[in-house]
Amino acid sequence: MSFSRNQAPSVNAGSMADIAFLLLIFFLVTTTLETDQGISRLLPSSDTQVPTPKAERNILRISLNAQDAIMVGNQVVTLEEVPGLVMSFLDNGGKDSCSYCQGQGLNALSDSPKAAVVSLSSASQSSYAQYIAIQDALSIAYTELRDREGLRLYQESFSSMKERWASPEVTAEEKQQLTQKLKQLQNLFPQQIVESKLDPQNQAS
Amino acid sequence: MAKFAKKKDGDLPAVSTASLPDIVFMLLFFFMTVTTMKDSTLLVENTLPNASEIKKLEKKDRIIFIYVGTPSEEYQAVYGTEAKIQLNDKFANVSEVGSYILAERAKKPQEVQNFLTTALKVDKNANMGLISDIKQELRKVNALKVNYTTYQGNAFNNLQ
Repeated sequence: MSFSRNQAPSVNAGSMADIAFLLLIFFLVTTTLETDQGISRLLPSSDTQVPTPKAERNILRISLNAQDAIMVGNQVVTLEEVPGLVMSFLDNGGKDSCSYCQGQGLNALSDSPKAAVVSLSSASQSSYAQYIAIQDALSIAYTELRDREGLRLYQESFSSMKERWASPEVTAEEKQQLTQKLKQLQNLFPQQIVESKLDPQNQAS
Repeated sequence: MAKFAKKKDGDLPAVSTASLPDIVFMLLFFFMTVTTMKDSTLLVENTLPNASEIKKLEKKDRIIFIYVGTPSEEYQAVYGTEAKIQLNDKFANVSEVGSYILAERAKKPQEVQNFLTTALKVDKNANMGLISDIKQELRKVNALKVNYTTYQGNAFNNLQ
């Protein structure tokens, strides 16, 4: 016998690379680098009663027409102006006492962030891309205001708290605290967005 | 100079390929962890719009997907170039969205049925009319949590 008794014969591992390559190619073909991220919204439920009418000053009307032009209130604006306008509307601090608002308290804008409603109507021919851009602009406005309040109340911005909340290394106790703070901030500036179709008759007039 | 004996020429030592499997396995594991299984083939164009204020969709088993876009080239002869809805692996009408959601919901385990999110993967060239109709259908079946799936980016670049 040419093999010595103590030495097991080595297995040829040369084909291991081929096997691994096969597996690799299988996974490359069957999987995707999917982007599962986006803007989350809550639709109003279908059985809502007719809501109590709101004062006109508490509604900010944003319309998107078939040519993708944006109108806020009675003015045609560019997309870049939308977050600023929404913020000044929400943060106005009118006649309701709103201790944390820093707006100018104009008569034309909202009483308080809790009463303020953004109404977004879009024509059926307007493009989805522009619609998402407006939704994004609304989110920017809300996040910025919540960030400001977060920094004032808890010395940490809303978005960084949210990031910490979602990170895996946060402890259960910390998470509970963060949830409470986040809820608190969301209550200060609740996202109240109403969506509707832009009526062509209205558009023509 | 006996110490520096001339090597035989043309006798390069072979590169060891013993670590090749390890490298390939590393690649394999990388792809296994960062990718997700494809669950349906796309029949529609699906270039998502950009947005910056976005939230990651965490739990994959709690999401129902709805794709919207113009049919891809090989289907355009049959289905035309108007934006269509794709549910699972086939084209569908707006009226079918509700029953699709209910069917998908019934497939999920009981404990997550109340936490489902509908991810709308809509091509950025689609029109809002179709989206509004879909949203109406979603409201009818009480699927109120929606997520407009987007790419991370600047929303101001959407229209270019």
